[in-house]
Amino acid sequence: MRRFGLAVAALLATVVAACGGDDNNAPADKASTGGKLEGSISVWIMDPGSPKIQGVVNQYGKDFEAANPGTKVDIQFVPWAQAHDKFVTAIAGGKVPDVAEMGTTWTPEFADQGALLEQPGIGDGEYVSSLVDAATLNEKVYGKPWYAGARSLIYRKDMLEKAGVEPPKTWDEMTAAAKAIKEKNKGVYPVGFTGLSEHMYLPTIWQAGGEIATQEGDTWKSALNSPQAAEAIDWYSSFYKEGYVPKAAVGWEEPDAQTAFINGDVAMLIAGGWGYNSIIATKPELEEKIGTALTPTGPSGKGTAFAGGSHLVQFTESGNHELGAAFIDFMLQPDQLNKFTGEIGFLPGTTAGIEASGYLEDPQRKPFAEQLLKASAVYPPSPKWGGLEGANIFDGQIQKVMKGEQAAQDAVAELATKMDEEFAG
Amino acid sequence: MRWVLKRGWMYAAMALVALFALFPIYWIVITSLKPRSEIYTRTPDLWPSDPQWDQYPRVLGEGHVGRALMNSLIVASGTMVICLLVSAGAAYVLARYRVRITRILLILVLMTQMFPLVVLVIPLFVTMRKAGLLGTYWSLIITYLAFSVPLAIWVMRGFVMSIPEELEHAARIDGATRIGAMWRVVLPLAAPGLAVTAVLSFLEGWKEFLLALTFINSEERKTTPLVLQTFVGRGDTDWGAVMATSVLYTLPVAVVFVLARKHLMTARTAGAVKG
Amino acid sequence: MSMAPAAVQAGRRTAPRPPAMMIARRAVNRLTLPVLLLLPALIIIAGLVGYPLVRTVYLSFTDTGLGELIYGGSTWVGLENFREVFADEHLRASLVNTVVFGTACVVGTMVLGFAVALLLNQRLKGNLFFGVAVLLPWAVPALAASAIWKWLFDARYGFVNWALVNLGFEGFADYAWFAGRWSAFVAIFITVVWQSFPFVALALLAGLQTIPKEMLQAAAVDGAGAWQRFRLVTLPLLRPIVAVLVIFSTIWDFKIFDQIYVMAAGVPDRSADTAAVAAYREGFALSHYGLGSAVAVVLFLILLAFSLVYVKLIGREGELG
Repeated sequence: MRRFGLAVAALLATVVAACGGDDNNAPADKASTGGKLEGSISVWIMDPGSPKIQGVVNQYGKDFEAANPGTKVDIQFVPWAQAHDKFVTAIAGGKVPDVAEMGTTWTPEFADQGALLEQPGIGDGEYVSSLVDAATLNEKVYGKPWYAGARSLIYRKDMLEKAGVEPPKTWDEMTAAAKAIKEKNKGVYPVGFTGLSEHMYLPTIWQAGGEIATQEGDTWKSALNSPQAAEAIDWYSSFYKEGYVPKAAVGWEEPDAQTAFINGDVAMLIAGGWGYNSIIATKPELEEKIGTALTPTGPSGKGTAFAGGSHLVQFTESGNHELGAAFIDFMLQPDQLNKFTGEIGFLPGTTAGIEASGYLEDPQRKPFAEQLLKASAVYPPSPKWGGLEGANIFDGQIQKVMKGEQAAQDAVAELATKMDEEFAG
Repeated sequence: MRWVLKRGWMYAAMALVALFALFPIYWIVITSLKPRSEIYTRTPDLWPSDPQWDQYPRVLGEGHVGRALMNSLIVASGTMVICLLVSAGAAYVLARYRVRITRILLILVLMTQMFPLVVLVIPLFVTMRKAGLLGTYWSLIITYLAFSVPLAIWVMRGFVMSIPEELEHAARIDGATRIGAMWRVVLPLAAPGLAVTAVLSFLEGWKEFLLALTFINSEERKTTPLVLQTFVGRGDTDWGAVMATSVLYTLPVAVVFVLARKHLMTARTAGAVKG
Repeated sequence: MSMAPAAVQAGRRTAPRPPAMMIARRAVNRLTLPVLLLLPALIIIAGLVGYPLVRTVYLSFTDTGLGELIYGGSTWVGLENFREVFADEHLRASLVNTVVFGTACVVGTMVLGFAVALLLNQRLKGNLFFGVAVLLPWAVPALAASAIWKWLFDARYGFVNWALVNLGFEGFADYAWFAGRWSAFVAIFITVVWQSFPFVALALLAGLQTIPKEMLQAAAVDGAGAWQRFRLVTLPLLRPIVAVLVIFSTIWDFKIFDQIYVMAAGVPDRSADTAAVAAYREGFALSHYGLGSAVAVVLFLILLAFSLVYVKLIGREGELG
């Protein structure tokens, strides 16, 4: 049995110990043995939502073409919201790109169908290991981690000060802090826990000491029907029930909570480095007022967050595997990598990249890096997980608990049944 | 006095409907002029304190909205022209030849519209791949036709039927062929219907998103709805850019509406004979 | 059927017992023009939509998942998917939502569209400005329209709540429109009507203007009031175009996807989903392509039933076929 929900404790040590020069040699080797590169490839990249960052990616194509005369890289941006469906259509319709960025939870789904090419040369400690796990199906790795991130705590220093509380380190402290903030800051809601953000509420199950699913042979089994999971959902919903969260938040997605935070309506938020970047970009004057810290730890003593991000994958049906591999390795070179990740507020998916990023020296951004490296985990890399996520099967039950229409224990039991149905079918 | 009361009531209704129609559009316009930090406010800001016009050069430059508008224009005009050519004749036949098979054809044409588009996307993609059209303007134009021609046929048929056949007979007695009568008598009288159909088929091509997303595989060919979606990132949406693009996107259509307002909203008198 | 086409009648009258060859040639001659005019439209429609439709119906009887979609080899499961559509609480609810909400949207769109068309037909001062104003929502891209309306109905930053509170409805302070199924439907209803009434208004106006003034004047001379003129003269003459608009509005509003997908995502337990959204979630998201297709087929059957009823209703009056 394989366990998930493990912190990636060893990795920080690896990062510190690793010496930068060697790290990008292994992947690059393969490309250089193939002789001269030629031909053209099409590349699908998820739309970063800003023409400026698109420019960074487009520059990869131009630089690569310049370094390898006779090659052509055609980059297309695909919107996140429709990307999964576009992949399905392309695979089922028989015309795939050569290289693509893929959300980490989708990689096993498409790998399971034989659509993705196995990625050789994934060395130990070379990539953020939780993201390698997310790309692994039956011991084989189908995607190279491009960028990664985990959510931490973002809070308004001034509001916490006014309430006379320190940034919470544990669940209990968070509850107490919420109570104090509510009393001392009129009109401010202490927390931005929403109904439609599984990356906020599912990790609380890990923090409570539970699991989301466990692997049994070839298949997965839901672990949600447990007292820990019930406790986690209970705690998460308690903020809403107590009025520590805006009423409308039951139907909010993460950007809505972020908007409320930017407007000073919410004091504490669970968000990633990309969210932090977006907040500062929207209201630069907030930079002084915002503090960051690791996600508060639950009864298990762990403050595990979800490690999300993207893989770079190649398709089996692609006509130019060699050029695709070379382009991926080009994008993963630490200096290239950081041009992109620095803009979007994620961390590089390679350890060399993280080292080059300077995140660990920046006090405001350090918690995001530490969260990812020390206290993060990935969802079960089952081929079915992408579907569970895409269909938002979890939200409905959580919303019911938040609104007090259902007990947390019943909710997680129902979710477990639903998950097992999908895992089996 | 009664007249004033009655008219006054109509003017009030007109103002109310106009407000309903225009307010969200007004909101889009002012949002495109607001700096990012002022977009969400608790008390609505009905006019930005310091209008910022820099979204517009930004989306036109970095965002390539100009190119996208051109792509949309090509696709939408192509759809409109072919749709009118193809469906005018078909509508005429289905209006004038009333035999059992026309009824069946009408229902069959209607049936093709009854499936939600999402389930048709994959087979349509396969069809386009086999035809070697993926990524071309034609892939979009042809597919949009499949969804605008049926409606166009039904709408135009309704208009053709309201034109008295006696007028055509008169023309034919004067020596016109059937086609000639259709061209000289029916077509001008059906103009309002034609105009409605033209707008409708143009907007089908102008606004469609899902199929464009599925078929288009290069930045150069992206239509405006696709570019609009590019400002929606993972958890961070560039609302200023979305709104500025929406304004640029609505503007050409609005201009056409203004220029063509008389044609869209004024009658040809077909009824003189019918009474 | 009110009357046979003149050409057909004429043909019957002028040629008593012609030789068989003549009949055949005349039939060919008579059919050439209509067939030539019909063919391009039929080829485009059938050539493109024919295969996808047949395939969707076929998939609805199979257990197709992502693997079967790519490599084939799905198993025939008979009516199993359809049994599940009606057994599954969420799918059943989505069908009910489709019919109830879709019907409401059709009625709302038609009523507002008719009112606007009648107003425009009055030729008031400022008529053309008003006409352009009401057409504009039609031109707004779907993404922007859904986003703007969702925002206008936002609990905290929305204009609607702000306006309602300032009008004295204090209860709407921070009122969460999208946290409940019915309030969400109200907001989405307004969005849908906003986007679809311009077309209906324009088409009805075009229809109104083909009505001969003499008929209305004659009715007025006979002592008919405004309402009677509308009911006895205008409405019957507009029947064909109204029928077309009702049929197509029904098809569009029952297939509604974008607005529900964007605006109803946060409604607890996805209880405001419609059939098209449910078909999408089962298909693309959960890879149950068989079940997703079955939802689509059920939606098709519902729409077909509605359309046949409409066609029957207008057919009796003689306007169709």
